[in-house]
Parts: sequence; structure tokens; C-alpha cells
Amino acid sequence: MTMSIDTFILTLFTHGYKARIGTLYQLLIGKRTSSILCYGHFYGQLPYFGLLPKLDRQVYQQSVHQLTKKNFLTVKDEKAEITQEGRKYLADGDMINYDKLNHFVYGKSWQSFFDLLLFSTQVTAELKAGNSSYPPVENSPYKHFQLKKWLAHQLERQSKEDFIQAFSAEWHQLIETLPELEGDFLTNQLTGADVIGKTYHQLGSLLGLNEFELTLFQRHCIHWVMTIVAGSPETYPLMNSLYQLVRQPNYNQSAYQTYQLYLKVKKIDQLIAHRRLKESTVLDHLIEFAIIDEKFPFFDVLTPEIKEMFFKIEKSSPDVRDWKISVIQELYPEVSFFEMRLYQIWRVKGRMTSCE
Amino acid sequence: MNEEIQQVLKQRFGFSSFKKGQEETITKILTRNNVLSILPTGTGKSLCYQLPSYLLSGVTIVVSPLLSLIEDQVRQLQRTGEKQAVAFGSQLTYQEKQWVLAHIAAYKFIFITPESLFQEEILQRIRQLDVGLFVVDEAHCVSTWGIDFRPDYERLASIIQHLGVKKVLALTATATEVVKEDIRQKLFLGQEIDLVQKTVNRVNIFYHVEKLSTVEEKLSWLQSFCSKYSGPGLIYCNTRRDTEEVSLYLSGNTTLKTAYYHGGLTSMERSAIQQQFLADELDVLIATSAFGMGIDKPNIRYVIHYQLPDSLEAFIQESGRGGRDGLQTLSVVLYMAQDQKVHQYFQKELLKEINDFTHLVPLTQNNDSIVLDHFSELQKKWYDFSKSENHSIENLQEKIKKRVEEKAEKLARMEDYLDTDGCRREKILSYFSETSTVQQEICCDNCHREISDFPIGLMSPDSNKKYSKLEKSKEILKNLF
Ligand SMILES: [Zn+2]
Repeated sequence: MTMSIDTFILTLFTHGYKARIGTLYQLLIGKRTSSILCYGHFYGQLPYFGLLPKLDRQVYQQSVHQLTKKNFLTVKDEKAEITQEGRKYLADGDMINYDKLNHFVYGKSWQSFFDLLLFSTQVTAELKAGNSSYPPVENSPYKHFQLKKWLAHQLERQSKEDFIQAFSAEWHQLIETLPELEGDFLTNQLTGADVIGKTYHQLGSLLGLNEFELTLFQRHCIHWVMTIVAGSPETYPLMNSLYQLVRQPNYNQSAYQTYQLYLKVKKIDQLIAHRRLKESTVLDHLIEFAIIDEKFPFFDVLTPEIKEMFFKIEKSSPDVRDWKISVIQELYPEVSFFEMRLYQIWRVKGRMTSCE
Repeated sequence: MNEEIQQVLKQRFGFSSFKKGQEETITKILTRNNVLSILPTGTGKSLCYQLPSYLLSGVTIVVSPLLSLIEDQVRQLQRTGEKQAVAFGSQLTYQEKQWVLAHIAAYKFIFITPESLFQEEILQRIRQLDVGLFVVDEAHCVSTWGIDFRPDYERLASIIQHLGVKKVLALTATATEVVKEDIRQKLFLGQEIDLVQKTVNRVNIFYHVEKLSTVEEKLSWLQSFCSKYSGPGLIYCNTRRDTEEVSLYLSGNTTLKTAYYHGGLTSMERSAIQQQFLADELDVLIATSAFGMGIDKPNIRYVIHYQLPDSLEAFIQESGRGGRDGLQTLSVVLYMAQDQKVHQYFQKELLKEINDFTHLVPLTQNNDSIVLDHFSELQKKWYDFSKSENHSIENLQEKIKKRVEEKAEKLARMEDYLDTDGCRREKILSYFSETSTVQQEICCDNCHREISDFPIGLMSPDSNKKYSKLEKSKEILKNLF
């Protein structure tokens, strides 16, 4: 089975819950609001945040419609759920792997990172071969400047031979770490000295991938490399330093400031006064960091009493993702939306780590 | 002087002799101010401005109509070891543009599209530079802007004056008498110019036209032709989609290594495909006209036009990319009657667009922004052009209508070439007001009706093994480091 946009959308429902169709669309095009980030977090779909920025709403709706017509999805009240037939259809297909794709974290930087990785590889290979006249794979004058500076910095710290050796060793280590297909896919794009890389379209046709599968697979491979390189700076000092040149935070600066201040003052009302922002904006910023930051201090807000209350609610309504503040407030008027959100996020995080 | 030229030729470019017309152009631009050089494709036009730049002080500005051409030219210079060359166009992000502007004085060669050159911010920075040489590449665009849709080219003369540049070199591969006169008037404002012109006749190209009636016939003709004759070959298509489809068809139905190339690929992809083609790793490249100059591949053995080009000028330029090494080469046009409809459609659309434009323009006087939002890209260009050069709309409309007529006329001449029973080479030469010299031994299909095989080499049976899988990582890394 080849992966089409329809199939891809179907895979986004394999979590088995009834999920909002409209919100999923907003997530795919990368609309950044705290409720969309929560949705992404709840259903494990943050990796696809902003993956298809140009996806047309009609095309998306048409896909959902097709999936419903084939009885792969059932739709009720703007929420969709996968059917048994839908699951079977996906299980029968042999699909390209793209599970390391993480557009939420690398969406803004992967292209620049990969461009620099290709370019630095070429420059290093030509350095080894002793060539100074060659057409660079990269045309951007700014990236030339970036790379020149980077290279000069590396050569200040070590001899040319040591640098070439170290860079080559990182590549060897990297392909040892990656599965064969992913490793080959990346290295076949490399150019330098006597090697001429293939374009990713050429590789796509060699592997029999369609344009959409190719998009997913290319990003999967590059995001995987970034995860490895970012996580092991001691094994990949050179590649990591390239990553540092292009990395982009996956939050906005204003939200970051709010969160940093919160960690100091710990009081919401003081925070609002200091930031001179609307209360709802400040809370949205905190919710964003509750999702992003593994060290978020949930228990400043979720005191033992509040947690106890939510445990009770959970007994009657076990799926925290489905909670509605209006329903909860009928029974517990003292609960705020912010508290409910933090509890939901915390519970979903716990479930993900404890594999409940 | 001559010694200096020879020295740079050898040291910088690694050549010991010039091709036809190069030395004359270089000497002229070094000693005189306004030079128009018309050299057929395949004679290395770029060297004509690259070499003198090293003997002149200041920066060389090269205006070229397409971003892809600009990037190709920068790459070509980089292959000679020149690092102070920059491509300035819409491919740069805002930050990159600012960065280049801040460092612009460090470049020896600035390649730029007219659109970018006319931006006030950029123009101001360039005005501060010492411009030693101003090169107008593809200078025929000055005259045929209606055809290439490049009104900007017509404004270059005012920029040259504004910058106070002394030396101007206009380069083109093809120019009829009318176009030559147009360049003289519009680019050089009627001043005295030095002309270097060499014949358009490419003696080593055999011309052939294949009349077919369906797309399927074209594809199967290509399949058997490309499997039989040895490349490397180049197939030109009118649309990006055609390049992809033809490439897919050939790679699926032959053992050939094919690739497609068009302006929709990223700059990195284009660069990779060019390198593969240059290194003979591809048997056939299927491209739009975006593939072209700056790519100096000497051994292209055939150039096939999948559809008829829109003019003999375009045809000569594109077929001329074959056989730069002087060896026997083949040009084929695959022609079916419906093909010209595409060109006629574009002409009709253009007329419609100018008519709409003339109706919209009077409305701009009251409420600029709303009407402007309704303009197409092209209409916006017309609008800017009429504003900046104080052309009346009637005047502009008249001009565009005239261009559409010219375009139809050019297409008709192209069809003459396809339909003729006589010598095709004669047709080409007479179009460019040249008289033929001697009957060539190997000429065209009409001169040699008796031959059944084309005069180029056959594919050796074991020469092509297309890639069937990815190469192994370890192998690649071993070759790299
Ligand atoms: Zn003939």
C-alpha cells in the first residue's frame, strides 16, 4: 500500500479516541494555540504539528469524507473515530516508517541543518582531497559565511587531519546507529570529492516512494539524526556544533519570558501584574510550557487537595482528554480551567511514561 | 595587452586558446566602451566577461533574466576557483539579502536579476561601488521583452546612466537585424557600438524533424531512439510536468539513467543534477529551458525538442547546447500539429491580459491599492513600467499588441522550419540574414533523404546499467573521506 494523504490522516486516528476533526486540521497546518497544542499532546500528535502548512481545508475535508465513505472512520458531532475496518486496512499495508519524525521540535530547523550537514561534508571531503575549486552544493552566501567561520573555528582547535578524521568518524558512528535504509538514504545525498549525491527525488523513485511518502521519510531520517546529534554532543561534537548554529526554540519568546518569570515568582497574580498581559494569555503561556518542559512544576498548582478532587472526577469520567470545564464546574464550581488543563496534561504525561 | 590576456586565460581558466569570437570580444571591451557580442551558443560567452573582469578594476555586474541562469553562472565561476561571486535574486531570504548588502564590496562578480537591481535599497548600495564592467546577458531580452515578458530589461539603459558605468558589454547568442538595431537603440541609446558577430551556423549539428500524431507516438519514438543511440542527450520540454513524465517514462521503459530538471527543483537539487550530467552519470537529461547557459558540457550528442520551441532563436540556442566539442551532434524536433496551440493559447491569454489591463488602469487613479491587488504579476510589471518610464497606457497597449504579433510571426517562422522540404540549415541562416556558404557534407534530413540512420554513435550494449538501488553508506563514506 502506498501512503496517500488519506491514509496518513487515517493513521492519525489510530490512538482510538474520538478526536476533533477541525482541531487536527489546525494542528497539521501549524496553528499555534494552547488548545491545539493540548490536543496534540493528548493524542500524541505534536510530531505532526505544522507538517502540512499548505494543506487546503477542502482537500482535508475531502480526505475525511473519503475515509468515512470507505467506512474507515466514523464521524459524529465533528469528532472522528477509527473503525475496525480502518485498523485492518492500515495493518494490512506495508508502510514506510516515519516514526522519528518530529515536526514540533525540528520543523523550523531541519532544512537548514541538513543543508549545512551536506555542505560541511562536501567541504571536508574536498579538504581531504586538496581541492579548492569546486561548485559548492550550497549557494546561499550567508551559509558560505557561516560554514567558513565554523570551519576556521574547528581548525583552530585541531589539525586539518584530525578534523577530517573526526568528522568522518561521526558519520561512521551515525550510520552504525541508524538502520541501513535510513543511513543509505542520507549518505546517498552526499556530495564531495569524487562523489556526486543524488537528489531526494531520485532516491524516492529508486525506493518506489510517492511524493508524500518521500516527504515523510526524508524528514523522518533528518529528524532522527538531529535527535541523535542533539542528545549526544560528546559523541557528535562537530555535528552538534552545526545543529547549534541552526537550532530554533519550539516556543515563542514571549511565552518563554512568562514561564521564566513564573519559575521565580510562582504566583499567577504577580505574574500577570509583571508581564502586563491578559490573564488568559499568561495562562496559555504556562500551559504551553507544561506541555513542552519535562520539569514543569505541576504540583505548585495541583496541590494534594486539588489532585484528590480530580481523582474523584476521574472515577466517573475516566478519559481525562474528554473533560469539559463546564461539566466539571457544575459539580465542582471552585475548579478553574487552568487547573483542569494542568491536571489533564500531567495525567497524559504520566500515562505516556508509565505505559498505563 | 595580448600577453596579459593570454596569461589570465591560462592561469585562471586553464585554456591555451580561444574559441571563435572570444578574443575579439575581450580585446574590444578592454579597449572600447560599448560592445555588442553575438556569438552562437557553444562558444563560451561567459569567458567574454569573466576574463576582462580580471584585467579591469572594480566590480563586474552581470544582469541575467533568470535566477537559475544566474546560479549556474556563479557555479561555473566557482568551478574555476573564484569565490567572490554572488547570485543576487529572490532566492535570498531577507536576512541573507541584508547580509550580502552589508558585504557587497567584497565581491568581484555580482550576478543579479533586473527585478532585484531595480530595488531602491540595492541600487543605492551598488551606486557606491566602483563598477568596472556592466554586462547585459541575454541582451535580446531588451528587444523581445514582449516575448520573454521582461519589461525590466528595457529600463537597463537608465540604470547604466544612473550608475555612471563606462564599459557595457551586451551578450547574446542570437540576434536578427531588427533585434540588433533594437539593442543599439534601447540599451546603448543610439551611441556608437562595437559589434562582434559570428555565424550562427553550427556545422557539426545534423537537423532532423520527426512528425508524429500523438503523445504516445512521441514517447515510443523517444524510447527506441534513446535506447539505440549513444548520449549523453538532452530533451527539452515546454512544461515542468512534461519533463517529469518523459523522465519517468524513459526510466521505466529503458535501461537508461535519466533525470529531469526544471525551475521547480531546489537550488541544491539543480546543482546535483547538473553535476551528475557533467560527470556523464546520466544518459539523458529531460529539462525545461531553465537548463542552459553556464553549463558547459562539451559532449552532448543529441538535443531533442519534445515540442516545437516558440521561435527559431530559442531553437538555435537550445539545440546549440549540443556538440560544443565540435564532434557530430544531432538536433531533433518532435512535432505534432496540436503543439503550436500551446503557444497560440499563451498569445491569446496575453492579449486578454493587456485588454483587461487597459480597462483597470483608469480605475487606479482614485483607489490605487484595491485595483493593484487585482493585477496579475505581469500586469503589475506593466503598471510599474508605465509609471516609471512615463509611458501612456495606449502606448504600452500598442507595444504589447505589436509584440504579440511578433510572437505569432516568430512561431510561424519556426513552423516554416518544421514544414520545409528544403534544407533546414538554409532556413536558419536566412532567418538571421546570413547567406549559406558551401553545401555541407552532413546537413539535415531533407538534404539526406536516403540515409536511414542518424550520423551519431550507437549505444554499446553494455554501456548503460541504470541505478536499481541505493548505494551502500560505507562505500560512500569511504569515497568521501
Ligand atoms: Zn540541409
